[in-house]
Amino acid sequence: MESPDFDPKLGNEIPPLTKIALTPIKPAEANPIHTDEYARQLGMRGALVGGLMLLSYILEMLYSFFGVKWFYYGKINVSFIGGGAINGDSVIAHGTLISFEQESDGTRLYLDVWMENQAGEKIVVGKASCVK
Amino acid sequence: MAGSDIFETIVVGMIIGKSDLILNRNTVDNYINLVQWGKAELVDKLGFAPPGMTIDQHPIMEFGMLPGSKAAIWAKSEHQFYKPLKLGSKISISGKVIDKYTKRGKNYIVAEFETRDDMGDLLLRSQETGILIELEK
Repeated sequence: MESPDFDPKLGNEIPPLTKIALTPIKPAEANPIHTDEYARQLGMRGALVGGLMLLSYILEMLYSFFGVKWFYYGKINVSFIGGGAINGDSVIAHGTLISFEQESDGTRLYLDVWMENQAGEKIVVGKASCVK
Repeated sequence: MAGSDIFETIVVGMIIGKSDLILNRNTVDNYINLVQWGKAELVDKLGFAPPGMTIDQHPIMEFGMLPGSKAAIWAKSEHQFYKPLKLGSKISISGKVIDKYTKRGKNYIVAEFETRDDMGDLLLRSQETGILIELEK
């Protein structure tokens, strides 16, 4: 499956993905940053949603766009910034084409990827690339 | 300094250990529910687990290596994918500490992980940077 409507021009955005960021119960047993009580001790609004969760949303967006090729050619590098996502926040993953180059197996597309929380604050920024 | 006692015990080159996981349907379904994965055809038609499914093992392995370490925040995460995670396969993850540093009063650990299938083929190579936080005693 690949996104059929993408115009591969620099600056064009791939289809974004919106999720309600949730903190699972199980990991809180190991890392209390994912509990309200401990996160508030550190000055946060509530339980911090794990980086794995935010990364998984971005990976779903990239899989939706690149399809199975992501499993063979996908690369991603992200930083978690700002206040992160708190349990129940609405987050949106984005990706924008910044460059491309020819490889033996096809054209590798390079994207700026990022995620915003419901306040419009960037909470994840980075780069991703894959052969399309 | 947050996490300093534990941080001092960490040595660059330290082996984080090995984690084995069988990607049976129940395990994959649990992950899909956890992350609200919306592309059912990946599992149902292709027989693949979502990309990155095994990444949650990395912090578990790190916590296992560092007794007394209870909290950490991801700062950076880098991954290169080589092959799909196949439903029903057995995979092994190995990791080691490749760097540690202190910046603006925060202690960072950089770890590298490799995920391989039971044939030894590389599926995923990862590098993750975490900020170590020590719980108040």
